[in-house]
Amino acid sequence: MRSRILAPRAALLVCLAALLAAPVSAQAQKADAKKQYELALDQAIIHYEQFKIHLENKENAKAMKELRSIVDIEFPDGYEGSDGVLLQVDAHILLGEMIVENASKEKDAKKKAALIDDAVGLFRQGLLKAPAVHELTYQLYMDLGHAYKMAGKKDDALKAFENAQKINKKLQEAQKQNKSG
Amino acid sequence: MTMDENQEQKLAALLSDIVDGRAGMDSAAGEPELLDAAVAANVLRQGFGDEPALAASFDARLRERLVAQTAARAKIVPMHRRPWLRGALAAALIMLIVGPFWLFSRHAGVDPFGDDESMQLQRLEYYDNKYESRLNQLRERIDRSAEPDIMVRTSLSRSDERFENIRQKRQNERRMQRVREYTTGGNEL
Repeated sequence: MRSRILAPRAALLVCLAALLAAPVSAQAQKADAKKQYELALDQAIIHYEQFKIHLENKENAKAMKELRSIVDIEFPDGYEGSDGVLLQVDAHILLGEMIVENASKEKDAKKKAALIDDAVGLFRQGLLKAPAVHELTYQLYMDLGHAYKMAGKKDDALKAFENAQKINKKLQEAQKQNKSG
Repeated sequence: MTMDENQEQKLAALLSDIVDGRAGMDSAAGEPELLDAAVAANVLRQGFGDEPALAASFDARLRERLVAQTAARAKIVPMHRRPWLRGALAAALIMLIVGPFWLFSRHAGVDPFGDDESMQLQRLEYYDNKYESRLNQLRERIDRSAEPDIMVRTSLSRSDERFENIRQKRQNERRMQRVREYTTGGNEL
């Protein structure tokens, strides 16, 4: 008899607790994501600083390794277009360009093709992370066009270059609006 | 009244006489058009009786002759007699439509019918040269063979600038966070 009275009350209490806990856990999740993001951003900054030092010392292989570390960092969802992600996109660009540079000096055709493939992959991954209209996106498309051209894929190269021009146009329009506004 | 009009009236009167039977067909000799007209008028007036095939054949011949006469008067040759003229006109029409497109396609950047090989290459080279200028700066930085032009704010220097901004911003954030932690005793969520 007593359990019949207590059971609905207990269920009610559980529901209430769940309702109260939901916003708290969402907030906690948000705070966790923020912490995760800040950690990732700090890592990216450190690697970028080391990249610059290695580049100054002409240690290109080490510099590229630092950039690769930035590329591999995982940023939490919901931080698209944030400073950390932009830094990562920049790393995609710089690393891809250094690989393309190495490919242009490579005499072995197979190795050269593999390097270009690697660079194309980096640029394409970068495009998935980059904002739709941004100077980095423009640069990624230009890089991609150049890499495709080196690989002899003329149609793909032109498509990439033309996408870059479209973004460039939008950036210029935005700049004009900013000046007039 | 002119000579031609006089002659025409005379012929019309003669035709009328022939048709009414006041004059014989021989009076139309030396006037082939009048003779044709007189024959046609006579036949039409009298009819072919019960000879429909003959009537149809006569009608067709008469129609053909009338068409030829009208065309000769207007100095027009019917289109169906000159099939090559039809072809030439169609070709001219096509040229008229296609011509402007072809003309515009000679100018770089405008390609209503898509790209031909040379234009595609030209455009590729144009974009790639634009790209190369930036890559050269990267080369300079890597090789240190020449000092980069500091006045040129390339995207590479913008990368550095962006990084510096991000680094400073993060540094400030961390400083502020430490201040908050100090003031709240680290009980901040």
